[in-house]
Amino acid sequence: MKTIIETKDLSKSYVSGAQTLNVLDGINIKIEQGDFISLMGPSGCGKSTFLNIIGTMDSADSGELWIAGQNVSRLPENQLAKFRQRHIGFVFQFHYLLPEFSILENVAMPLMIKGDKKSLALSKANELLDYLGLVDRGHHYPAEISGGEKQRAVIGRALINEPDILLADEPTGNLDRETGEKVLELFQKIQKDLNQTFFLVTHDEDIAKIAVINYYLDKGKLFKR
Amino acid sequence: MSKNTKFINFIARRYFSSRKKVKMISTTSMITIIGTFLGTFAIIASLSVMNGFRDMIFTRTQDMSPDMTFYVKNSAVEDRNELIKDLNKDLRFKTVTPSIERKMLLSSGNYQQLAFVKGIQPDEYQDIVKLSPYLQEDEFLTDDIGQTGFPEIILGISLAHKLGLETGDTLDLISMLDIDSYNVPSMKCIIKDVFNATVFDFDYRAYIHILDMKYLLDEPNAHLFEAELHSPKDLSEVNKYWKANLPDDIRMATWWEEHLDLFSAMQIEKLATFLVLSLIVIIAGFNLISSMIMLLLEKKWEIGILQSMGCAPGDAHRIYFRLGWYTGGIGMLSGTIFSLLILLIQQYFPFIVMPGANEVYIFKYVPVIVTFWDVLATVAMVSILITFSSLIPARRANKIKPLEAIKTKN
Repeated sequence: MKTIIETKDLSKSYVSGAQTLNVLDGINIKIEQGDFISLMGPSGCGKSTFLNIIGTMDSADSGELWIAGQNVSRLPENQLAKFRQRHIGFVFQFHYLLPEFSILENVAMPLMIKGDKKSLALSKANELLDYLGLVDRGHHYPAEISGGEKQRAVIGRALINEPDILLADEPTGNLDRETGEKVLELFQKIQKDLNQTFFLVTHDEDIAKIAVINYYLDKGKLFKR
Repeated sequence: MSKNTKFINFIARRYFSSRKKVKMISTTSMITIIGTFLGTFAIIASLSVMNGFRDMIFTRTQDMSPDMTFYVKNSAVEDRNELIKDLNKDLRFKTVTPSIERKMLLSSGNYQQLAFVKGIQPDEYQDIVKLSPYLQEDEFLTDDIGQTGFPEIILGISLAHKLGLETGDTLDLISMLDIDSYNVPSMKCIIKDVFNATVFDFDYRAYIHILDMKYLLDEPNAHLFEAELHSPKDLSEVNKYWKANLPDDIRMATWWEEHLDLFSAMQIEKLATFLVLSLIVIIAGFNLISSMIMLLLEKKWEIGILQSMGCAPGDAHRIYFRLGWYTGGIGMLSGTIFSLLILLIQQYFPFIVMPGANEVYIFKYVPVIVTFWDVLATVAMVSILITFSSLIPARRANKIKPLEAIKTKN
C-alpha cells in the first residue's frame, strides 16, 4: 500500500504566559492510500493543529512530515503551496466558498490555480458537481444555496485535483444533524467509489464511527482506538 | 501569457468588477480612478497648452529677431568693414544689414517713455524681421528718406498706447545718452504705422531709418550687423563657425541666445507645472493604497483559502498588484485618451476660444501642441506612481499566512 502521509516525532507547543502547552508530543502516524481515518479528542487538545500541520498549512516545532514520499518539513511556502495543490484537499467546518465566484468556478478554482485552461477546469468541475448532485446549482453563487449544498460544493472543490488525501476539520460542525448525515454519507460514497483517503477531525463520536481507523489525541499523545 | 497569469488575471478582474458590493471600497476606488483620470488629463492638457504658448512666443520672437546679431560698436572701423565683407561672402546668409540701436526718450505732449529705438535699412530689414503680419496698416518705413517730409517711425503698440499716439501722429525722439553741454540730440518723427506682436518686449520698441538715426546721433557707423540665414537649420553650424572666427572685440549672439533667459524660464515653468499637477496623481495614489488595503482586509480570508488550494504567496502579490493597476490604469488610460482626443482636435480643428481673444491676444483660439514626449513623460510618471501604490498592498498580500487569514473570517 502506498503511504500518503507519515509523521516522525512531530511536536508542537504553544507558550501562553509562563505556561508551555505541548499539544503534539512526538506524534508518529502513517496514513496509507484508501484509509478512512478519524481523529477525536477533547476541545483544544490540538486536533485541528495536527490536521493543519499534516496539511502543510501550519508547521511543527520539531519532527518530520513526509507526504507522498517527500520530506516537506523544511520546504518554503511557495513549494508547500505547490505541494498542497497536488496532494491535499481541505474541507473546513465553515464552507469558505469565495462569494464573488459561482459554485462551478469555486469548484474549478484549484484546477485554474494549477494552470489548467478555464474551459477545461469548468467542464471537469461540472462533471464533479453532477456526481455530487449539484449540477443545477453550478451557476448559482454561494449566497444563493443551502448550507448542505455549500458543504457539498466544498467537497467538490477539495476533490477536483484528485488529491492523495482529503483533510476534513469538523465538516459537519456547522450543519444541522440531517444535513450533516448526508455529508457523511457522501464521504463514505466517495471513499467507496474513488478509494479516496480521508482524515477526519471531529469531537463527535457518532461521526467518528463512519471512519475505519479511529485515533484519539489527548495531552499531546496519539492513541489508536 | 503563462498558465498562472491567466488565473491571476481572472481573480484580479473578478475582484475589480465586484468591489461595488462593498460601498466604502467602491467609493475610494472611484475617487482613485477619477483622480488618476483628472491628474493625467490635467498634466497632458497643461503641457500641451504651454507648448502652444511657447510656440507662439518662439514664432513671434523668431519673427521679430534677426537669426544672428554681431555687436561691432566697440571694434575698429577696419575690422567692421572686414567683417561685413566676410559676412556677405558667406552664402548661408540671406541678408546682412547694418543697424544702430539706442535707448531714447520718446515724447509727445505730456507723455514720455524710454524705449529702444533701432535705426534700420528698411528694404533689407524686411528680410530680417517679419513685421508685416503684425502691422496695423501694413505700412513700413520709406526706403528713400528724400521722399519723406518728416523722419518716419514705426511704433510697437504698447509704446503707442503709453504715449497716447496712433498712425499719423508725431512725436519727439530725444537721445538722453548723447546730451552734452550745448546740444540735446532730438528729432520730430511722424508715426508711419503701429505693430502688435503681442509680445511685451517687442511691442515696446520703435524703428526708424538708419540714416535718420545716424543724423540724430551724429554717428557715421553701424553698431550692429544683423543677419538672416537662408535656412534656420544652419543656425547652430553657422553660429559655431562665426564664434570661432570673430575678432575678440566683436561679440555675436543668435536669436535663441538673446532670449535664453525667457526660454529657460518657460522650460522651468513647464517642469514646475508638471510636478505640481503630479500631486493630483500622488493623492490618487494614496487613495489607491487605502482602497486596496481595505479590500485586502475584506478579502484576506479568501487569499488564505486560495493558498490552501495551492495558490502561492507570490500569486497573491500578483493578484493585488494587478488589481491596483486595473484601478489606476483605467484612470490613466481614460485620462490619456480623453486628453489626446480633445487636444488633438483643438490643435488641428480649434474650437476652444481664448478668453480675451482679439483684445489681449491676437490669436482667437487656445494654442495647443501635443508632443509625444510630454505624453510619454506623463504616462511614465503616472505609471510609476500606480506601480508604487499597487506594490504596498501587494507586498502585504504576499505576507499573508493561510491559516491566520482563514481564521479572520470566523
